[in-house]
Amino acid sequence: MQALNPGGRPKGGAARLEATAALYYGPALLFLGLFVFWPLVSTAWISLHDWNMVGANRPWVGLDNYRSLLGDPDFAGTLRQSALYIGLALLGNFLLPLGLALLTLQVGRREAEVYQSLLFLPTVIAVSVGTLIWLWFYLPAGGLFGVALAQFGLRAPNWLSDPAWALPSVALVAVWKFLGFNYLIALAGLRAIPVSVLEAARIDGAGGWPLLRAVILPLFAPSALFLLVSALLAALENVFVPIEVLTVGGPAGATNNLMYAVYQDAFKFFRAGRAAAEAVLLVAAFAVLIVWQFRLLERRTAYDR
Amino acid sequence: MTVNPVAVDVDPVKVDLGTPSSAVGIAGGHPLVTLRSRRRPRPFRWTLWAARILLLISAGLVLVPVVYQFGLSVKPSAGLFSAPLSPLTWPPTAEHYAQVLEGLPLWRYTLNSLVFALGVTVGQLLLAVPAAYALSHLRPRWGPAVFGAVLISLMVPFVVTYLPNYLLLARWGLLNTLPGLILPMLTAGYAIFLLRQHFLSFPREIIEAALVDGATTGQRLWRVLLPAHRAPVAALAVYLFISTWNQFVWPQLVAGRSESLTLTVAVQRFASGEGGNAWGPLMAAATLATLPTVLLYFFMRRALLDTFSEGAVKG
Amino acid sequence: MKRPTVVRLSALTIGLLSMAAAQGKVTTIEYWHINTESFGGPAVRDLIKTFEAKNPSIKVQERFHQNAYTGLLQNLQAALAAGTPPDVAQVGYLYTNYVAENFPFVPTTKLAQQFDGAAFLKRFPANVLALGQSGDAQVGMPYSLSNIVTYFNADLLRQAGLDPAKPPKTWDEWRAAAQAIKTKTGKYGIYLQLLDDNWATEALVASNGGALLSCKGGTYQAAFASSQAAKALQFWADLVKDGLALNTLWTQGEQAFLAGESATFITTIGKRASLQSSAKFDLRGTTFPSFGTQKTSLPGGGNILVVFSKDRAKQEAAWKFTQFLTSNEGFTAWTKGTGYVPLVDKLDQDPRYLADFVKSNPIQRVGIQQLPNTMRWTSFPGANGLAASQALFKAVQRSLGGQASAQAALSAAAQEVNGLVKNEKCKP
Repeated sequence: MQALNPGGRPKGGAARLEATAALYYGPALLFLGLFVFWPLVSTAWISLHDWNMVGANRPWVGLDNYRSLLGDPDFAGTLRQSALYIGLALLGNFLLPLGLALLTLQVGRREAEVYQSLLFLPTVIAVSVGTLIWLWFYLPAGGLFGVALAQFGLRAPNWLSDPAWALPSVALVAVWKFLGFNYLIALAGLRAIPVSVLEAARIDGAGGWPLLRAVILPLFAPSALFLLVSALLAALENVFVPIEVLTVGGPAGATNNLMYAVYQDAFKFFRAGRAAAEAVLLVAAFAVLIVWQFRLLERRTAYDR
Repeated sequence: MTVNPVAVDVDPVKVDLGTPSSAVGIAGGHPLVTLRSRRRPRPFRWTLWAARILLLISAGLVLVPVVYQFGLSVKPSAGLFSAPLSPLTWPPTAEHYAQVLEGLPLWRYTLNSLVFALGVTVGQLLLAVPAAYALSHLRPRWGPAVFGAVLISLMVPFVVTYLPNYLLLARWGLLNTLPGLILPMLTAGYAIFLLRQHFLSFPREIIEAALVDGATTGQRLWRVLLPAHRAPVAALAVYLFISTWNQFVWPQLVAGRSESLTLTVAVQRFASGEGGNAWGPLMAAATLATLPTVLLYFFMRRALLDTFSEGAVKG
Repeated sequence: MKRPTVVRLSALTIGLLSMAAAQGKVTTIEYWHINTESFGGPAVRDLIKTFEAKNPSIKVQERFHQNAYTGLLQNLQAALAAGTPPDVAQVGYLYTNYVAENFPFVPTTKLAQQFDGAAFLKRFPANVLALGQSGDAQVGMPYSLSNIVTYFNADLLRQAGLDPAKPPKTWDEWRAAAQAIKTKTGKYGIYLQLLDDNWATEALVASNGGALLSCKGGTYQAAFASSQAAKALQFWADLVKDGLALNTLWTQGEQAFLAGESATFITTIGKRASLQSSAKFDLRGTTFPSFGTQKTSLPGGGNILVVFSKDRAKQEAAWKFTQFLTSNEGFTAWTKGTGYVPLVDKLDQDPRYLADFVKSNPIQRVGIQQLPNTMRWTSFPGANGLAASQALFKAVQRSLGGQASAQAALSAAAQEVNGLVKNEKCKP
């Protein structure tokens, strides 16, 4: 983000600028500090203890919680599934919305609005409520999907109790809930590409896949960051309720992920130390991922300003 | 931004300009990019129809759960699950709605939800607008670090903040109070992130012109930047309102007394528990709880869609 | 002694519009429960209304918690950590030990002593009171008691050529019936409750002479790797494998049953009222199937009422409320509204209370009839007890899914559980 216009800064000098700016972002930062980062710090502290969250007894165990996690085969499975969730989220909440947005560019604006409205609707529904109906969709006997497949002579799997199907089934609910929102963001990014640039490219002879690859996608990169963050959030927060409602992490741990493991250990098994260690690993992994993506994409756009 | 000419030979311009757009947003009439190969124009544009069909299918699939939710809410409880392929029955019944409405003081809960959602929305905007402005236009030295913190805050799952925040509020004596409900929700990471992206795209020249006219830092925000971003701010407000309205975990913990429930929390009285779900009333309650947000969405649809789709999330 | 915070808080409370809770010499207590609208929620409100009418100086604020006892316990834990516990809370039997070991509760015996309740306690048989004990302490007052019964769809049985008036009694008979149901109607014959609390698993295992936990050499040990337990679980897994039993979690099992896709729904008697109001077929009930001629042994489900109030006035009010809920009148409303078995002896034969109701409701009779078969629901001890319980649940799911034989899955889980509970002392 090179400042091309140092003149854009107030005359009062650097110190005053810093003070003014701090005044503007300070309050927001204060809230983040109090209600996000302070809990995060105390979580990191708890992760070095053995604690059940209520007892006065809270012995220091150093890195034991981390050690036992990394040596636990169940936890390895949880990590693997977390990666799978992220993969599915990128597919369902990044590529799919992007594809739909590209398709939308083909149709007229009025028509596009209809799709936008419809696809966005699930976003409006509370996930705690919206997930419930899926319980019945996934019912192996007499559920919607099973009955629908039976019309074509197909036999539906036991979606939520078959280890192979359970995870995709749960992820689908999160995709459904979040698809519309990411679709709008993707569309935003595509439409923000100036018409003039596209015309210039066309006149230069670009079209089809080359136009997409060489012009549209690079120009889309900045919105991609936003989209990625949204997709990752979907993988994290939005899959939590579907897991809790549909499978409680099963069958036999097949739909567990890091996010849900934190919840289970903290609030179902009352192993706060272990849960805190999992939370720290979770946040660290995502922080690295996000910061890396951010640098990558911001650098790309830096030259534009 | 310069574009490298791409050396591929294609038919001359096939850019449709589409219908003129509404006045909102920057892009104006948006480009209808036809990603077609070099064929002569034909009256039947198969890409258009392929796109149309795929979009219709997607929209249809996405709507299935919504339709079933409503359908079950007006289906007589006898035979609720007996005809999976027909979501809607005729004649519809109001029995589930009657049961929901007589059982619980839903008006009270609606009011609670309204106050909660409005409080969080206004609060987040008040925090996020100045912060986004500082991060996009004032460019303080610590800006990147602050923005990094904003990004990371998005990644902290609620299970991490749940208990510590509860204990903090308890220490302050704010449990079961309005401030207790709202304050911890004022972590405006997402709002800052979104607004910053929008503000970044605002032409610098205009801000500079205002500076030359002697506008102070604050004036540039309130008189120049904000008026130009009415639509995104409105859309963000709607988005915040809806997602706060739908919040569940935090309100049930901190305001779980029967008279301070929010609508979304109250709906859970029809779900789960050792008694399983009362599907008819549950779907009726869910529909009622969703109704205000759906209405709001349809009224504000224009601003919402335009913002998230005129995006201005550009370089 | 009324705390001024009550006034201040309610002034700030969102719902301040109509509550006059803090006015006058009124003691307000908070009652935490898990009763949804279809499962005793209205009964809770009615009971509170009656109680308040009788005790004008006490106001009861009910607070519902979703996610049953787990959800309630989560919030209870947070409230205790914050120093603002409820006055009376429903605690699931599975969590009695955990609460006794970790939470500052007011023992029922102490309340009875302080507020003149010894005579009241005498109404309950010793084995009932034992349901609320942990070690030597009476943690709470047993309130809701359920056992596992077999609900069945008489229409489906008839279609399969079976006589619903004489439903199968043993697992082998049910297996044969399920085979007939599958052949004639294409539906599932059996659904046995599957939840991570292992309640139904324990009923199955214990009814075949197995146990979940044993006490050896002064410490607890997993006992579910025995051949009795493995045989019982394998029987269930084979039913699933042969397409005779539906393998899903509980909510889906209920949906399948209500949609007529499963002929049975083997679950808690606490669902009785809810099922009767939503089943559109000829709903009946019978006892939990036995293995051959062995006597069934069924863990008691439900909850105890635990008091957490700190100050005396509230403790007294909480105790009065507890007494009311467990009075003849309280149990009558509770049984009618839910299906739980009344804990006061002979209440079901007393024409002033439940006699007529039970006479007209044969399913409720099944629950009462099974009372002598009720045993204590096993909770795994210690700080890792709940994680241990999860290990067993995973083993059950693995064998039902056919990923491992019952014996292999249970043996592996037993090893894991032994590691988790190895330091927990017990008295044989």
